[in-house]
Amino acid sequence: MRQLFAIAQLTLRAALRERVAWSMLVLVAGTLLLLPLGLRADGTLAGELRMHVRYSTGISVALLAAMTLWVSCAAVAGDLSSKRLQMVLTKPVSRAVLWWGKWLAVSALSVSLLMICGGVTYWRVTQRARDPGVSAEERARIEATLLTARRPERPKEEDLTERALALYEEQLRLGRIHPEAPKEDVLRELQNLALTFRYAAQQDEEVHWDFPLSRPLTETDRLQLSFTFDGASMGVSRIPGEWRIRVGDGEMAVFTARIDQTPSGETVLDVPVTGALLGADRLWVSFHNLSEESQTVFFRTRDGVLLYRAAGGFGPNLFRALALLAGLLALLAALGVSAGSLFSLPVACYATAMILVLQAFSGTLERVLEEGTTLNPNREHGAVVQGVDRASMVAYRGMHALIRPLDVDRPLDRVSRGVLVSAGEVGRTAGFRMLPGLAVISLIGIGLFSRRETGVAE
Amino acid sequence: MTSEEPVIHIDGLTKIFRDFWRRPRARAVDGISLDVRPGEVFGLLGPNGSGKSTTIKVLLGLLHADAGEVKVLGRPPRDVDVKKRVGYLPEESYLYPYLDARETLRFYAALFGLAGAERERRIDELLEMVGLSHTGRRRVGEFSKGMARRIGLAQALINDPDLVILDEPTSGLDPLGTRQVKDIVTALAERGKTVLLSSHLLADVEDVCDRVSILYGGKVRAAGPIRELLQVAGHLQIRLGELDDSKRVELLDALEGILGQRPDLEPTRRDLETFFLEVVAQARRESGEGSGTRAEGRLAAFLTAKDEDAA
Repeated sequence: MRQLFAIAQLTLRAALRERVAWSMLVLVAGTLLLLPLGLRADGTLAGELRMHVRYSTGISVALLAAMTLWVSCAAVAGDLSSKRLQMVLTKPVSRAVLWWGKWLAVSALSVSLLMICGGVTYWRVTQRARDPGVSAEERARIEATLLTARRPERPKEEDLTERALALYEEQLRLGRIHPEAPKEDVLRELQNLALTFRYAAQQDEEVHWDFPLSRPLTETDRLQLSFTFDGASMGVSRIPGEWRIRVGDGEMAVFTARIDQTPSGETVLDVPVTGALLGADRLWVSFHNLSEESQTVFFRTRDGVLLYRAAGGFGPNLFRALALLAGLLALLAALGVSAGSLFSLPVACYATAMILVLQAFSGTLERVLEEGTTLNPNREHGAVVQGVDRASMVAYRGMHALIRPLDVDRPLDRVSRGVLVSAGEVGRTAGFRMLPGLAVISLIGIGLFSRRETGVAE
Repeated sequence: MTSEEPVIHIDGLTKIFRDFWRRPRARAVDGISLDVRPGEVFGLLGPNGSGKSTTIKVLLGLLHADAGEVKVLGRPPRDVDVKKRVGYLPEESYLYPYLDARETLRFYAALFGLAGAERERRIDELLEMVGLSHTGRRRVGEFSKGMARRIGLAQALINDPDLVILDEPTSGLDPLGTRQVKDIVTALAERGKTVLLSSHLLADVEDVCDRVSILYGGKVRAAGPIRELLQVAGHLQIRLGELDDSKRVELLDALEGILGQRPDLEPTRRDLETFFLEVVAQARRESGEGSGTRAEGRLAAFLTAKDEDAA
C-alpha cells in the first residue's frame, strides 16, 4: 500500500505540473463561469439554468475527459520516455502496483475536479433559482422541472410487428411496394411508421396510452404529465387539445386539462394525486386533438408522452449523475494508463482520443447496428459488397463493444430536465459495466506492461 | 542462496535489439558469461556500445535475455524479492526534477516499504554522506550534474542493498566527488556488500575493483583479477625509500655490476588525483567551505550497522 500511495502521490504532483492539464483546467473554469453569460436559452430562467447544467457542465466534463486521457497517457508514457520509470522499475515494485498507483492518481485528480465542477453548477443553479427577483410562477416552473428528480413512468410498449406486417401486405397488394424489395428492410421501415402513427392524433381523434405504474400511487406522490411534440408538428402555430387521465379503460377521467399552445419544447402538467388516483397502479392517458383545421399532431416517439413521479431533489440527482461521470473518467484514466504503458505518448494519446471520438458517436454506431447494415446491400449488389458489409458490421460490433462500458445515458441532460438518475442505475452501471470494464482494461494493460521491456536503447 | 553461490551468475547471455517487425537490428550482447562473488567489487569495462549497460539492464529486469541464463542473488532478475536487495545507480540520474533531495529519497524509500523514523534517519545519513544535507528545498532539477549523481548514489543505497550496481558512477563528478565515490565503494566492499561497477574510466576501475571483465562488441574479451591482468611478464619494479646521493651512486654501481647495464633511476611521483586532492584540502583549510557539496565520504551509519550487529 505504501508503494501504491507513493506512486500515486508522485503521479499527482507530476500531473499538476503538466501544462496541457493546466490549459484544460483554465478552459474548464472559463466554460463553467463565462459560458453561461453568453448562453441564449428560450428566454426563461428555467431554460437558462437547464442550458447551464446541460452545456456548461457538459463541456466541462468533456474537457476533463480530454485532460484525463492526456494526463493518464503521460503518467506512464512520459515517464518511460524520460527514463524515470526505469529507476522506479529497478525497485521492488510490481508493474501491477505501478499501474494501479498511476490510475489512482489520475482518477482522484479527475474525479476531484469533476466534483468541483458539480459544486459550482449546484451553487450557481440554486443561487439563481432563489434570486428574489424571480417571479413565483418562474420559480414554480424551475422547482417542477429542474430542482427536482422525477422518475419517469413510460407507456406500455406495444408489439407493432403484426401491424407492420398487415401494412406490408396491404401496400404490396396495392402495388406500392416492389415485390423484390427486401422484406426485412421494408418491415423495419413500416414498424417505424406504425410507431410514428401510434404517437399521432388526427383532427378530432383521441389517442390513448396504457401506463402500468412501477408502484401504486400514494398521497405523498407528486405526479406530472409530460408531453413533447415532434418536429413534424412544428409548422403548426397552435395546438388545441385535451388531456385526460383515467384509472381504468373506459372509466371516467380523474384528470382533465385543456391546452392551446405552441408546439415547442416539453410541457409539464401537474396532476393532483387525490380521490380515485390513490392506490392506482395503472393509468390510461389520452389526448384529444381539438384542432379545427385538418391538422395531425405528432408527439415524439421516444419519451414524447410520459408520467413523472417526484423522487428526490436536484442536489442528490446531480451527485448521482456526477458519480456516473466519475466512473466514466476513471475508465478513461484506465484506458490512458494502459495505452501509455504500451505505446509512446503521441500514439497513446491518439489511440485513446479515437476511443473518445467513437464514444461521442455511440448513437450513430447503435443506429448502424440496429439497422443491421452499413451499405444496405440487396440483391443488386454482388458478393464483394455483401462481404465488405458483413466485415464492416463485425468491425462496428467490435467498436461498440469497446465503448460499451463508457456509454452512460446522458446523465447531465436528464438532470437538466429534472429526470431521475437513480441510485440503482448508478449501481448497475458501476457494477455490471464499469467495474468489469475496469477489470478487463487493467488486466490487459498490466499484462502487456509486465511483458514490455522498459530499458530498450533509444 | 548459499554464501558460496555467486551474487550474479551470467551464462551465455545474448541480447538482440529488434525493430518494429521483430527483425534483428543489433546484437548488443553476444553470449557473455561471468560470475560475481559475494563481497567482491567487480568491474565491467568497455568502450561505448560494448554491451555494459545492456548487461546491467538485463540484470535489473529492464530487458529480457534472448538466450542464456541470468541469476541475481540466486533468482531470476525480474523477481521483486531480488530487487529488495539491489541498489542501482544508472548512467544518467533519471530523477524527478520537481522533488527536492529529501523528497526524492523519501519516494524511493517508500518503494522499499521504509517509513517513519527509520526512513528519516537513513535519509539524514545518506544526505550527510553524499554532502547534500544543506540543499534544503532546492529541487533536484536545479542541481548540477555532480549533485544529481550524488543524490542518485544516495537513492541506490537507501535500502542497504546486498548488491550495488553502479553504471558510470563517477561520470560528471569532479575529482573530489570521484574520490568520495571510490571511497564509498571501497567501504561498501569492506562491509561485505557486492559491487558491480560499469565504467570506461579505467583509473577508477583500477583503484577499486578486485576483478574485471572487458567487453567489446558484446563479447567478453578479457576477464580476471586486476593484479593478474595488469602484470607484465618478466618485468619487475623495485620501490625504495629516501636515498642520499652517495647511496644512489652506490646502488647504481651495484646494479650495473649485476645487470651489465646502468639502469635509470627516477624519483617517485604522486598521481595527479592525489596532488589535486591535497591542493583542494589545503585551500579548504584556508578559505572554508565552497557553495557545492560538503561530504566527508564517510559511509552512512545504517550501511555499516547491520554488519557490526551481526558480528
